[in-house]
Amino acid sequence: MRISLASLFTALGLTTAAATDTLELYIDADYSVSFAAAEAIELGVRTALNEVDHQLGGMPVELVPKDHRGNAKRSHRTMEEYLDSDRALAMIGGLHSPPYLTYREFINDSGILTLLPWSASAPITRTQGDENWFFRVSVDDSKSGEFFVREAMDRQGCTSLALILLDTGWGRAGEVSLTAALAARNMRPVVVEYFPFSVGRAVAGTLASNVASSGADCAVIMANAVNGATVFRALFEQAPSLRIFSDWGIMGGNFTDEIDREMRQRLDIQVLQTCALRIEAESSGVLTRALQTAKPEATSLADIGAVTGFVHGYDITRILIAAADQAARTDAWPGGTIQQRRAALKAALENLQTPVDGILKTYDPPFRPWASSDADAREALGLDDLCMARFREDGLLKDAG
Amino acid sequence: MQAEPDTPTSPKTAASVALRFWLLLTVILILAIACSIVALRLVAVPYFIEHQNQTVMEQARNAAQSLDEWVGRERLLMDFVANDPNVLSIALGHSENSDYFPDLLDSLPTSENLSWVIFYDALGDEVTRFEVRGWEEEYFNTHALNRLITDTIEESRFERKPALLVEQDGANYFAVAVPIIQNGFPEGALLAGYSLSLEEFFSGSETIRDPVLLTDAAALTAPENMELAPLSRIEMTLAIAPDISAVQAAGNRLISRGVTAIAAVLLGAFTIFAVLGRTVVVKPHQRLQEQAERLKDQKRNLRELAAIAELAQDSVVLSDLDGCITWVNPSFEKQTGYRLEDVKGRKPGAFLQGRDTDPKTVQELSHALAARQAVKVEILNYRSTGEPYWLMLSISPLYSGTGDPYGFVAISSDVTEARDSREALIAAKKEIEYQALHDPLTGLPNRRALDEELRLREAAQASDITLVRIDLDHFKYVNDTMGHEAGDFVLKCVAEILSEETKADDLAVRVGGDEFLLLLGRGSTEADGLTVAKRILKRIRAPKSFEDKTIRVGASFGVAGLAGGLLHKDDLIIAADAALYEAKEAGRNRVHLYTPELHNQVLSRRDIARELRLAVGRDEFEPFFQAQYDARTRRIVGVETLARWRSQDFGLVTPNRFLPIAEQLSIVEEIDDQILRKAIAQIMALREQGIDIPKLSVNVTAARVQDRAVYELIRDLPSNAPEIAFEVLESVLVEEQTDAFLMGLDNLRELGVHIEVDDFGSGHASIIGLMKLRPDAMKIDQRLVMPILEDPVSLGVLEQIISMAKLMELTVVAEGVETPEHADVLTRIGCHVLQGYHFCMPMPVEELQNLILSSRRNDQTIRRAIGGV
Repeated sequence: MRISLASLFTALGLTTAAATDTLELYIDADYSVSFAAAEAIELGVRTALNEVDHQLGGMPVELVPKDHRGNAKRSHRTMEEYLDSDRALAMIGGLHSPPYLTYREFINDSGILTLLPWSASAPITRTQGDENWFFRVSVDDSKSGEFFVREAMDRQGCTSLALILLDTGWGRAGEVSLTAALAARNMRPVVVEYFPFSVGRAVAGTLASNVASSGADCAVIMANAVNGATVFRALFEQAPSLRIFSDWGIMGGNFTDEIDREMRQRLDIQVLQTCALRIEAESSGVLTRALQTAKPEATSLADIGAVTGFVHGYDITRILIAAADQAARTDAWPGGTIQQRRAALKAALENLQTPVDGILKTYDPPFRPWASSDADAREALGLDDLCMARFREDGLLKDAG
Repeated sequence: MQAEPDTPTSPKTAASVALRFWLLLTVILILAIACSIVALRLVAVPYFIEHQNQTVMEQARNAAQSLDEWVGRERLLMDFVANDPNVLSIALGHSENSDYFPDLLDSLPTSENLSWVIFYDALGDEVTRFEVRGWEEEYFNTHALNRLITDTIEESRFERKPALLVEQDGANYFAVAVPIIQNGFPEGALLAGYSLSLEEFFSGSETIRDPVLLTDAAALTAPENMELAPLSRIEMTLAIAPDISAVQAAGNRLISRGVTAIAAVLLGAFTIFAVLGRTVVVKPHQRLQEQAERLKDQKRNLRELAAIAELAQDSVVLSDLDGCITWVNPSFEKQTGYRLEDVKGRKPGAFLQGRDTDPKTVQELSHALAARQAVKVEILNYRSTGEPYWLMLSISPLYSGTGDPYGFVAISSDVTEARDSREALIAAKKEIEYQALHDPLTGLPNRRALDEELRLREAAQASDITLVRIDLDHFKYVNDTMGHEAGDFVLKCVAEILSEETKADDLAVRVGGDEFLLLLGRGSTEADGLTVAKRILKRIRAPKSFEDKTIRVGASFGVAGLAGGLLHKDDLIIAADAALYEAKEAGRNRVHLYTPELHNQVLSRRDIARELRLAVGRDEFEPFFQAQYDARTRRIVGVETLARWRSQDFGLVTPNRFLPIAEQLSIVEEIDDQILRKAIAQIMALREQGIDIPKLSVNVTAARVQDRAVYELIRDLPSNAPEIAFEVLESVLVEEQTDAFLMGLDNLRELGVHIEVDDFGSGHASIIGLMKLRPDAMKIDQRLVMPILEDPVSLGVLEQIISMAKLMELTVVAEGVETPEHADVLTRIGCHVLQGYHFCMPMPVEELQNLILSSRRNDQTIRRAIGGV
């Protein structure tokens, strides 16, 4: 009977863990264009795993980098590989939101355990259905809208706000949350401009001209590193006195190579960050240890490119490790199929029993079981975990606080 | 007579020379062309073939370049699509609008060669496609297409894009892939398929056979004779083979054209040579032959001419260049009376021309002879007897065979009789022309001459024409009283005066009867016209003596000119006539100028005249009635009918305004007829209402008296019609003493019509005339009536007239009774009937009816009053 059951499992492709030695963590990131972000995420993940000797729930784990290059279809191919794999435990997705927005239902329906250290689009973690396989330690655009407006209008005295948004689902969701936050203050944006993913100089010039003529004194920009640089250059030429509150998307690449110091200073660019830089300033043992592990020669976070990726990658892996430890105590883990292990891990993530010390904070608990009434159930970070950062003269970020 | 020496020449020899000349020329020409063909074939054909090969290479390169540019344009379009942000977004999986891509291509200006485009994502999966001729994709190997896509997505930086090429049913189909790039990385690809006809790149080339497109791989194994031209943008090569047969054919055409050109050049050169040779060689031979022939003919002609000259009716004289006679024919001797022996060596002019010979003709002859020119003149010569005669003389120089003059021949005929006839004819013609343009009586030019002169002036666009129109006053009286000889005398005198008082360029004409016209010369003004007219008037008025009797006549003058700008040339005579009319009206013997005022009158009269003609047709004339009263009882005994014209344009018009014009238009009778008929009808209508008008007077002309229609109208009146009285002007009675007139009066009288003499005292009616006419009444001219209250003489004259009328048993009617005093005096001196404004104005029949009814009521009132007393 046992034999026949095993045969049945084999026939169904549901291989057992006994047949595998090592678990895999897919890192679905943009290793081509936004390679700095991808490598930072991987470094964060790898650093956290190093701390536990690359063991998850007692099983060895290895990282499998997957370069999606911003292409949702490549992510989809990775997802299919994940589903076909009997070792892939979870997929850590990064930097770009579109792959996960586009395939959100596929992910949830197929049961792809997706951990997001760097994807901000609000709808990703908020599915309409009952199944929700997303867990995020990242800026959440549903918060960033309120955060941007609070920073710009309430704290820094802006009077009229322009919205300059990447023309993707991410950007459009941003407009909703930013407009709602302004409306709560009886305000509205003086101009809303969208730009395409591969914006050129001409389109950026027209956009900047419209913003300049709108009379806005501040602008919130949601852009990626590459197209953001084009838009910033156009704004520098046509609206140099504009104060800019940028989403963190620009930090995914070599933004500082594209936008020189003078431009950064003149435009008074502030970038949305989680509060790692502030925490570093306030000194943190977890951070110090992580840095030490990740890069022994590093003296500060500034020595790590794309800080966000590193910090969030580290924290979310720390949570993953804790959840795996918790799952390992269930029956599903030692002899279960990969699907069962994923399910056990998901259950543990939703109901983590022990607090997890991360760089940003102690997560207690980081996540909750999904219910549509609990929109932030899969958000480990909240409004209070967001900070603004400014560029230092050397191009690195510092806390703006 | 002299003859040229005869030159013996053989025509056959000349023809033979020409024949040899042309044969030689033709043979040389043929040989030259043949040599050219051989030379061309040996030298030009190898060069041509080399040139053709180079041309094929050049065409291959050009076609490849054109093809390359075309590919470049297609690539550009595909690059544009690949760079479209939405296409990229679809490729990245960020959006899934499957219609966008075909819609985008559909909106772009794609070439007709584009068959299909397939959109692949980064994974090599087809996303969507755009199809024009989608089936053409099947021509390609699927594996090869997939390989092309894979290569493009994995390695996008091809300098020359890989391409697939297939040939199907003789047509070329190729596919090219274009990467979709995002941030320097290929994120998808567009695979585009095209159908291509190479003919459009080789149109017009005759020496290229079946150009083909090859992949680079296939090009490596292409035959050696093919020229290869790789395309720069895609991995394809254009292979071209020269068409040997076409090259050969083109070579043949080259030879053919070359030979044609050389032949044309040689032909031209030989033609020039032939022309020159013909001039230098053949022509002289032919001329020699012709000269020989001509000399022979000349000798024969000379013999014939000599015979003809001997027999000719015309005289023939031959002379040398000095004009000295060398020979004459018998006719000359007969014509002049001189013999050859007498005149040989003499110049004809010396003995043939005499006193009356025209020196100019002699001079003309001398000049012609000196210039060795032919001349033809008509000249007066003298025979040996001294008798003059006219000759038609033709002299022509004589030339030798070399063209040198050596003498003259003079041929003449006697034209004395013909000349006399011609001169007589000319004289007769002149006389006829003169008569046609002149008045035979006075010798003055006539109307036709005037018209001709006016036509000439008009042709010269003269703007300074002045005309004086002259009409003798009372000329008829002269004719009537002194006879037509006296009248003619007067006319001749006037013509003489006109001739003497006018300048040379003035033209005085008699236009008929006693009417003359004087057209002043160029530059004359109306003032000049007035001056000359007054001068002429003064002389015309001067007494003239004819057969011991003195004749006095006067004249009236009308002057009109173009200077005032009032008139057109065509209206000038009419204007002068109008001025003349004014002069007559003003009392004759005077000169009147056609003034602007007169011009306005004429225009007005013209308007009236135009309307008058229409008015007759529209029946616009109506009778007005002026009552006539018994001098004693003051009762109405009749009415005089007066014409009125109720015009649509001029209102109510009295006769003094329209009657003169009506007379000119000869419509007086028609107006009178309308008035008479209406008056009779209206008076008859009154009678039916109990108003009895005893007598109806109407004014009539002499013509009306004689008018049969009037007679019949009166005759056909009903028995209860009023009595009709015809008032005839005293002047008419005097002037119209014709039988017809008198008969007309008698006829009317027989119908009971009263005849009344109107305006008695205004004319020259004689007692005898009155007695002859036997009128029933006389109406005293109001000019005699009006002054009687102030002028005793007038009163006395009137009394005498009335006495005379009583003796003749005539009823006396006084007109112009304007005051009660007039009425009383006229009654007292014996007038029977009174008429005038004192009683009433002329009025229409309705008012007349009211007047009579009112008068009756007054009478009744008076009678009742008297009865009451």
